[in-house]
Amino acid sequence: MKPNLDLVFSALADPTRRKIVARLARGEATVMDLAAPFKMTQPSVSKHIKVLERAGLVSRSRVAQTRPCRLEPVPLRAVMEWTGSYRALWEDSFDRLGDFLDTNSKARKKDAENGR
Amino acid sequence: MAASKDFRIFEVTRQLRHPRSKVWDAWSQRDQMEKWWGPKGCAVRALRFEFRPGGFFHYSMEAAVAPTMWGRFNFLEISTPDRIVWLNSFANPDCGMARAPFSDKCPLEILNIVTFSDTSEGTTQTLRAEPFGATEEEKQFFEDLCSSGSLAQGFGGTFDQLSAHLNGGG
Repeated sequence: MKPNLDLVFSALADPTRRKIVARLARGEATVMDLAAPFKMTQPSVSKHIKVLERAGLVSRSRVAQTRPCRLEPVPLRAVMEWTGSYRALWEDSFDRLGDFLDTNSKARKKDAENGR
Repeated sequence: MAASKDFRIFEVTRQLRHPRSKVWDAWSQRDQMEKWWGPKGCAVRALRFEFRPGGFFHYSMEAAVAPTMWGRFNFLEISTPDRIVWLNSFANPDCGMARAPFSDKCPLEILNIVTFSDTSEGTTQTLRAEPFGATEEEKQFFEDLCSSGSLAQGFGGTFDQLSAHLNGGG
């Protein structure tokens, strides 16, 4: 499934959910593990995890009874790719702007020398 | 406008060895804009160029190996010769706003602010951008993601692991 970037952005807008994502980047964890560092009940943490699941950021095992959570990298990568490509667009354009101004100013100098 | 405050989510700065008036011309004139703006490998042709608040720069992007795409700038503020504010998005052939034709990875209209200042060498040009219409929290996230310093904080200092995970997984 293709990531829905709007959903991913809003899922990651919350600091608690970003911390959960950061924790899961170190490996799978159960809801109990994930709740431990927060002053939060397990049901509250479960709600956050559901939001992350809806955005496709987290999946949960159906095998083990504890249903450990796992980070799905595709949506995060999509956000980073988008940011990277927007940066590349502007870096490339600014390169060409520099070249264009160089050429332009040389042409003007030449015109001036030729008395045009 | 309000967005100019704490506006450091996405930033690209470039030093140019040319006076500010020449740099301003390159941004404000149709034929010059066509020569430098756009994605790599695309020929950009201006279909509309109305350099005034509320005006549009509507352009086509033609590449040898891909179908033609369109984009637009909707100018919001023009303060000669200090700054330009506009919304950038993909467009249809009639200058209506459109989603990115090749993927759903850029669903957002982007608010851009470019500022110019004089230096002894020429001009400093700084472009800042953020998703337009995003909530404050989303902006905060975007900022965490885009600025490398706070990125580490935003992800609880585990960004290296996150990178490794992204590179290795999926």
